[in-house]
Amino acid sequence: MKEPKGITLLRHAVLILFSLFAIYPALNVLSISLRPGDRLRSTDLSIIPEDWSVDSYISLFTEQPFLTWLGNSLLVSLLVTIFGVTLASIGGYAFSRFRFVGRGAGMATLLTTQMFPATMLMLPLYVMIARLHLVDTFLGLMLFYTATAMPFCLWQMKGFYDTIPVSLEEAARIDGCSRWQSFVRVTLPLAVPGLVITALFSFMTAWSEYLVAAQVLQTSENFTLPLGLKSFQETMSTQWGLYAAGAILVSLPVVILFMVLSRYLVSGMTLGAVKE
Amino acid sequence: MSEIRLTNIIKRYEDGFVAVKNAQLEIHDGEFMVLVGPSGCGKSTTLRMIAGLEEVSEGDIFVGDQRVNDLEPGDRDIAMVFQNYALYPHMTVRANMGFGLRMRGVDKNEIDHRVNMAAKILSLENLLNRKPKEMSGGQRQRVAVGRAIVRQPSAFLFDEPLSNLDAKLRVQMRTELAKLHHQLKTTTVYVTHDQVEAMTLGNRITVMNEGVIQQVDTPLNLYRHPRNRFVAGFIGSPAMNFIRGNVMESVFSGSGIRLALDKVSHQGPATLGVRPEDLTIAKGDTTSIFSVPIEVVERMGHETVLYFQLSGDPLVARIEEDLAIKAGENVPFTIKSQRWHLFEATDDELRIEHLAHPDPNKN
Repeated sequence: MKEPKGITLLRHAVLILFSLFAIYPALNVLSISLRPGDRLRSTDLSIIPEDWSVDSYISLFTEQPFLTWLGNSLLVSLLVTIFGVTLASIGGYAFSRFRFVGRGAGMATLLTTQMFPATMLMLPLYVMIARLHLVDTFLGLMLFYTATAMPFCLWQMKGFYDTIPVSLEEAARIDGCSRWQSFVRVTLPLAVPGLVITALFSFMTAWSEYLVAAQVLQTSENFTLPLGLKSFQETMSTQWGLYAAGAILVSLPVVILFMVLSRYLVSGMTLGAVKE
Repeated sequence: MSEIRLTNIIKRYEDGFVAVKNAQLEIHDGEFMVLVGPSGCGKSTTLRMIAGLEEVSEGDIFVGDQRVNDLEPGDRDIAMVFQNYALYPHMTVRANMGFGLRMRGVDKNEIDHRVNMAAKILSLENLLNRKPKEMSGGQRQRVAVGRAIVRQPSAFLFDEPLSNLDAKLRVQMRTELAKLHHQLKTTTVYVTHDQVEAMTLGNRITVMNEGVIQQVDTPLNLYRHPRNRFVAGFIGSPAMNFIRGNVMESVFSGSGIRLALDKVSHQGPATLGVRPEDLTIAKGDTTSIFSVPIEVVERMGHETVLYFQLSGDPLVARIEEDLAIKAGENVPFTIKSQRWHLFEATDDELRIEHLAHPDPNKN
């Protein structure tokens, strides 16, 4: 049935309005990053200013330790992703397939941990990390990130495994696979969309995190990107140009990741496996 | 090829539910054995125990001379076809069919050769490079069967393999499976709830109910000599009619009818069983046993199925001709000579022997 024109127009108007809300801040940051100097409050409405320059970007790489921070961030985020995906892919499988004492309680506890705001955990976590002598180390930071991302990742993977028919693993076991082989050869390949979502989430948890990093990391060489960016904001003045350019560069990898991985996010991988 | 033996098999779940009670079953080498029964009767559990997908609580399972209780499913030399096909969606048809051989380290040329052979038997040659999602239900079912036969196992296990197909395809696949078994002569255990599948495919049939094996016999023996009322009611479609009553001096009376039974020593409460095709319309000088108004008439062309009630018991009659009877009409019925069964009115509801209808399995 065709929808009345008025409704279509209204629908599009609303969507466009909200798209503007979403896009405007990002465009504004882009605009600031291209302005020479620190003209934060310019009244110029053009996105690319007439006297645009990439000085801020060049300065980031030449005068600032941006590359060091980028390296730190990448190291931390990638390791957290690898930890997260490995643990969640195995743990989620156990939660999905096995019936054991404490399964229900475990799932509920994992969910409960998500209800506390991160700031509340800050002090106890700092104490723990201090006692482990991991202050100002990447390991301390990675432990925290992996631990906070894990509940979501486990639930995510458990939910995904639940959609993969058990009979596929049974068929694999009759075909001669051990339990582990049936997991690796049949279940895991089918769980790729779930793994991708879990990986993205783990990566994002670590990539854009500021609060915890600010507590754990102390020396400038160890800073991750969010900390580094914040350091442009000094007591007396803020280098808005650098700040904006850095922000754009920080968000680029995430945007690219989403674009590359989006095809994996399409569900329906298991279509045709079994008849529902 | 080899025989499969189940001795005193019990399946008890953790919550105490007993799914299979003391099952004794011998499936001969090369035999097509069908396990049939209503849902929840333990037939699938029995099959899954043979496959190794379900642990055996008590008893032993032998494939050939080997006790397989503690063997992994992959070490039992059996292949299974699942109700939902369970094809690996990320693999092509060729990879799906060859997977079991690859896992066993069979030489690649040999795998190709066997997959091609199976594909030929099942007319899958043109589909070998497709993925399961690009195929129809019937084709997928064929691939699932192909995956089983390339392994050349000791036994095939089928778990309701046709129940997801539409009626026409089901009949077609049924005859193909029968042909396949005739060709390969591999020991087969086939689970279904469809008694037509059971009757048409099985060399022998095991009827199960509530975890207990009720009877193991050839299809026709089950039909003609059911051991108890459950088997009598389960095998045959439309199902056997049952009339509760009493036997006194070889005369059955109940629900307003009286039927003289020869040579029955039983006295007291009993259930009379009559198959729908053994109820006929009394014509001419034959005396009718009862006369009732017909409620529903189903004219199939080659036969007419009549539904009616006898003192509240719903009964069915199947007449092998196209009769112009209308609903509401009063029809006199009689029972074909000696074509009745008598069941005890006890919990077991065993069939009562009578001389006119001896059990061929005895003596």
